[in-house]
Amino acid sequence: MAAPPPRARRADSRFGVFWRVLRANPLSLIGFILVVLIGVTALLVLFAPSLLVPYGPLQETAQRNAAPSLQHLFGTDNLGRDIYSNVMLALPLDLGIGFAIAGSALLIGGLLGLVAGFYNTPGTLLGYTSTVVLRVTDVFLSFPSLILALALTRVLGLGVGPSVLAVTITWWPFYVRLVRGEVLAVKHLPYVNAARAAGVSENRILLRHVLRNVLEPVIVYFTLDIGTVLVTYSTIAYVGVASIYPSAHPEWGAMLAFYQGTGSANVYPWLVLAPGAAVFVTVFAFSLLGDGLRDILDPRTRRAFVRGATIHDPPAEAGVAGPLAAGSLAPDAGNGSEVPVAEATG
Amino acid sequence: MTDPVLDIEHLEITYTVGAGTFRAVSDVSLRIFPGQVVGIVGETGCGKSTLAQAIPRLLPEPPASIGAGKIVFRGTDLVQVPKRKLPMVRGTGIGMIFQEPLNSLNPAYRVFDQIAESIRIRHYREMGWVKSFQGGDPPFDYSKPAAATPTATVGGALVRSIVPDGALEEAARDRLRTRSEFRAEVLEYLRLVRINDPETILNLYPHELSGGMRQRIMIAMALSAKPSLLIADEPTSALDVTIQAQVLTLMKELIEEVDAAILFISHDLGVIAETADEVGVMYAGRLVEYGAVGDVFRSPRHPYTKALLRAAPARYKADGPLSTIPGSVPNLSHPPPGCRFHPRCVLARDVCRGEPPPLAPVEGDPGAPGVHRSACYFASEVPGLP
Amino acid sequence: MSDAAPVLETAGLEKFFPITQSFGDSLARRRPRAIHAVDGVSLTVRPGESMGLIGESGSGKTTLGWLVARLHEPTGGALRFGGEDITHLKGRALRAWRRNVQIVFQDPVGSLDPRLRVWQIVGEPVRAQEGVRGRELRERVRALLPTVGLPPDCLDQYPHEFSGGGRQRLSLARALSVRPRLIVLDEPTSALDVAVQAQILNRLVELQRERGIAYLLITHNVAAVRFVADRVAVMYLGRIVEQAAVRDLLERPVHPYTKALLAAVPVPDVSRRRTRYRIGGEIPSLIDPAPGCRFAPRCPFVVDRCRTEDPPLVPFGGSGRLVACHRADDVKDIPPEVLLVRDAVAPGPSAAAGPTS
Repeated sequence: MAAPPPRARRADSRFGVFWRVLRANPLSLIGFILVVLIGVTALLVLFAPSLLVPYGPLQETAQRNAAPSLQHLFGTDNLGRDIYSNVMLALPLDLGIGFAIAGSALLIGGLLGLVAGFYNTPGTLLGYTSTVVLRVTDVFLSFPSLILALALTRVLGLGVGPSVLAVTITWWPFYVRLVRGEVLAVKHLPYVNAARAAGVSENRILLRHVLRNVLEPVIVYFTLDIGTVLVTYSTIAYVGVASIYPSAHPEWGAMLAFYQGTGSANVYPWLVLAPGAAVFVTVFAFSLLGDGLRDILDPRTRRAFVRGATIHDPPAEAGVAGPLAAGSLAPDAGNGSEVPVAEATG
Repeated sequence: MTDPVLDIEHLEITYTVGAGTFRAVSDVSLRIFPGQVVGIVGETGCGKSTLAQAIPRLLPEPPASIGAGKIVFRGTDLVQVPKRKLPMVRGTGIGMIFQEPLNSLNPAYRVFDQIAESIRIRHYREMGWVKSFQGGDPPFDYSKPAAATPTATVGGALVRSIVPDGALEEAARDRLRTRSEFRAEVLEYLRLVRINDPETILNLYPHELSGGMRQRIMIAMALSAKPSLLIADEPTSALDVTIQAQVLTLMKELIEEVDAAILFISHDLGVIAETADEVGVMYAGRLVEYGAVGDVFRSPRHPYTKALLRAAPARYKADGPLSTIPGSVPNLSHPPPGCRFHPRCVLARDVCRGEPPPLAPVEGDPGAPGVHRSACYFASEVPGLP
Repeated sequence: MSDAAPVLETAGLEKFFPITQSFGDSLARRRPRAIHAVDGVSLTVRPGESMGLIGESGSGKTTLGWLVARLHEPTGGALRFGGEDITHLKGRALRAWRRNVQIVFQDPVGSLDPRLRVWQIVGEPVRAQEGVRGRELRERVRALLPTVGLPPDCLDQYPHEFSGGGRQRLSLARALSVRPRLIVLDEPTSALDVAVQAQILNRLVELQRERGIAYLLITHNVAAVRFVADRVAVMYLGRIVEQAAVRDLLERPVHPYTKALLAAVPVPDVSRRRTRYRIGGEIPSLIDPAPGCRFAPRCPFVVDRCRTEDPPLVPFGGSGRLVACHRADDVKDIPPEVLLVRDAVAPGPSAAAGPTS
C-alpha cells in the first residue's frame, strides 16, 4: 500500500471556533446577543432617535406619575416626562462612559504594565523606572477605589467629564497589575527565548510576541470590567456628583439619584426600577460575554473545539506501511502529559 | 481458584467534547488476582490513564462517560454504584498513586497531617463510624497465606489484619486515637517506604521535599489506607533516572511484602518488565496483547508490541537508523475500521479492515486467565518479523 | 572530524545565580549565597561533531546549553566560538552573532508562539538576521519544511494543529533556517513518544550528514546519545565528571556516577526483576557546594580523600577520555551491573534506602 504524501488541511478558521464555543455555552451566547442588541440600540438612539425614542427627555406630557402603559413603557414622573425615553437616551452616554473609563484605564495601565513587566532587570534605568511604577501602583491600590473616586470628584469638580476622569484615575492601577502579571508569565516561555536566540531585538519581542499573547486575557478582563466600571460610575452619579438630572442628557445614575432623593421612588417604584434594570442588564450582558470570551480565547479549551486538527508525522520510508491516518490525541483528562522530564536549573 | 480483586469486562469509555466523541477505551477486559501485579503499557493517548482513572470512577463524568461494560471490584460492579457511595470504595478499597506527586500532595499540609488523615479515615471505618465499602463484611485482608501471624519485619504493619479478632469493646468504639498513636503509625509507614529519618520528614511541607521523596510519601499514603487494590499511574515517569531506580526498587520490595493486587501503568517497557507479573499492551483504546510479562516481552505476538519493543531503545544498539513505527496514533473520534493498528502494520491485509480481531489466545487453554493472548489475525507470523 | 578550529570552546565556564539576601542576612553581613548551576566546565566541540551532554536534574546541562546559545551571560570563565571570544558580547553584535548558534527546546507546546502562523514562526530567524519579509520569506520557509519532513503547504497553520512530533519538527526547521554552525538541542524528544522520538532522531542524524552542523545534544536518554553523538560528557552538579567517545563511555564507564546512571536505566529485560539498585541518596543542593568530590555522599567507592579534595578532570586511559575521580584506576574495570544487586528481593533494610531529609 503506497503512502500518499501528507496533505495539510485548510486552517480551521478562528471564526468557526468562535461559533462553536458560543453554541456549546448557551449563557455566553445570550450574553453575546444581548451585547450586540445593546450596541445596536445605542447606535440607533444616537443616529436615528426617532425610531426608538418617542419623547424628548424634558418633554412634559399630560400623564403625570403614570404607571407603565403602552404609551409610556416605563411610566412617567411627576411632570409627565417619559421614563422610557430618558432611559434610552441615557444608553449611549452610559455605554460611552463605561468604555471611556475602562478603555483609558486599559491604555494607561496596560502600557505601564507591559513596560514594568518586561523591562525589569535590576540596575538599569528602565528597571528602576519599573520599580517606581509598581510602587506608585501599590499606593493607589491601597485605597478603596470608590472612596478615592469620590474624593477626587471633590477636587476635580462636578459633571460627567470630571467624574469620568476621577474613576479613570482610580482604575488604571488594576490594569498595571493584570498586564504585568501576564507579561511575567509569558516572558519565560521558550518561544520568547527562541526569538531572542534568533536575534530579534528586545523591543520587537515585546511587541510581537509578548503583547499579542497578553492581549487575550486582558480583553476578557476588559469585557467583564465594563460592568464593574458602570456600577462604580453609577454609584458616584447616585451620590449626586456627576451629572444633573433632569437634563437634555440623561444618565442612569443621575436618574436614580434624583428619583430616590426626592422620595418619589417610594410611591412610584418604576421611576427607579427602569434605570436600575438598565444598569443591571448591561452589566449582566457584558459579564456573560466576558465569560464566553474566556473560553474562546483560552487555547486549551479552544483546542477541544478545533475540528480534525493535526499535521502528523510522515512515513519513515516509502513503501513501508499503509496510508496514514490523520492523528490527534484525545483531550487531556488527567491523561498525564506525554513523558515529562524533571528538570530544575540543571 | 480465588476470586479476582478486579474484574473488568468489555469496558467502553467515551469522551464527548465540543468537536466530537472520542472512544478512549474500547472493549477492554482484564482481571487482577490478589498478590498479582498487572502492568498496562502503551504510548500516550492509548487510553491507559483513562482506564486507570475510570476504575475508581475518578474521571469527570460529564465529558467522560462509561458506555458499556463492568468494573467488578470484589464482587460489586462499580459502574452501577451511585456517585455518592463512591467515597466508600476509594481509600480503603482502591488506592491510587499518581504521576506527579507535587500535584497530588496538598501543599498546605505537612507530611504528618496528610498521612495521618489517611489513617484516620481508615480508623473511622474500622470503628464503624463511617460506612465502609462492604458493610458488615470484614475488609479484604491481604496478609500472605503463609504468614498469618504478624511478623517482626518492617512490613508487619500491613500483614496484620485490619479488624481485630473478636467483638469490638464498647470503650474501644468510642475512643479516638491520640495524636501520639497516630504519630507512631505514621512513622511506621514512613519507615516502610525506606525513609531514613522519618521524624524530620514529618514536619516538612511537600515543596520542601524532592521528587523522589514526595513519591515515597505518596506511596506511604496509599498504603496506609490498606487498600485491596493499588493503582499506580506512571509513578516514576516524572523522576530522574537514578531516583526512579530507587523508587522502583522500593516498589519491588513492597510488592513482595505487601502482596496486594497492583495495577501498574507505564509507557516505559523497562519499568513494566521489572515490576509486573502480567502485562497488557494498549493501542488506541484497545488491548492488543496480554500475557505473562516474560512471554510478551520475549516473544511478542502482536506487530505493535514487536515494533514497540524494537523501537524502545536498549542501552546498546547496533548501528544504523533507529527503528520507528511509521505513521502516528489514530484520531480516536474516527478510528480506522477493523484493527486500529492496520494502517501502520506491515502484516496488514484486507481482513484487518473488517471485523476487529478479538483478543484470542495464542496457544493453550482459552479458560486460563493468564494465557498469552493477541488481537491479531496473523499472530503466528509475528515472530518472523525482524 | 577535521582539525579546523573548534566550533565551540569553553574554558572554566561558570554561571552562578545569586540568591537575594534577606534583610536580616545583609544586616548580619553574611556572604551572599549563589546557586552554582555551572561550575567550571571546559568543553570543545569540533565542526560537524555531535557532543552529547547527559545528566539529571541539577546537573547544569540545560544551563550550559543556554550559555552556549548565549541566552545567559556567563558569570565566570570564557566562551569562544570559532576562535572568537563571545563571553560578554552584547547588543547588536550579539544579535548578529546569533545566526551561528540556534537552539531547540524541550517543550513542544511552549516553543512556538501560539498566535503566529507557521511561516512567521519558522521564518523569524531569517527575518531577524537577513531582513527578508513577506512573500520571499514564505518561499524560504516553504522550501525548508520538507527537510524536516513536513508538508510544504502548511505555511498558514497554527502550532496547535500539529502533534508533538510535528511541533518539534517546526522548532528544528526554525533552527535550521539561518544555517547555523551549531545547534543546541535541549531534550528535543523527551516529551514525545518512543516511535516519534526515533523518527526525529533519525532525521537529526541525516541532517548532520548532509549539512555538517555541530550538535550539542542535552538529554537524559542514554540511547539517544548513543545514536546521535560522537562524544559524550556526563555532568553532575555543575561539573563534567567524565567525557569520552560515545561507545567507550557506554561500554566501559569509568566514573562511579556514570556507572550509577547507566545501571539505573530500565531495560525491558525480565531478568532484571530480581535486582535492587544500590545507589541511595538524592542530588544535593546547588547552593554553595561543599569542597571535595560532589558525588562523594552517594558514591559506593568513596574514600576519605574524596570528601576533602576536588578531583580534577584529567585525561585517562588514552583515546580522548577525561575523568574526574581520585579512584579512576581502581574502579575502571568495575561494570555498572555491580550496582544492581542480584538477589531475591527480600524484605528488610535495603541499601537503596531513601534519603535523609
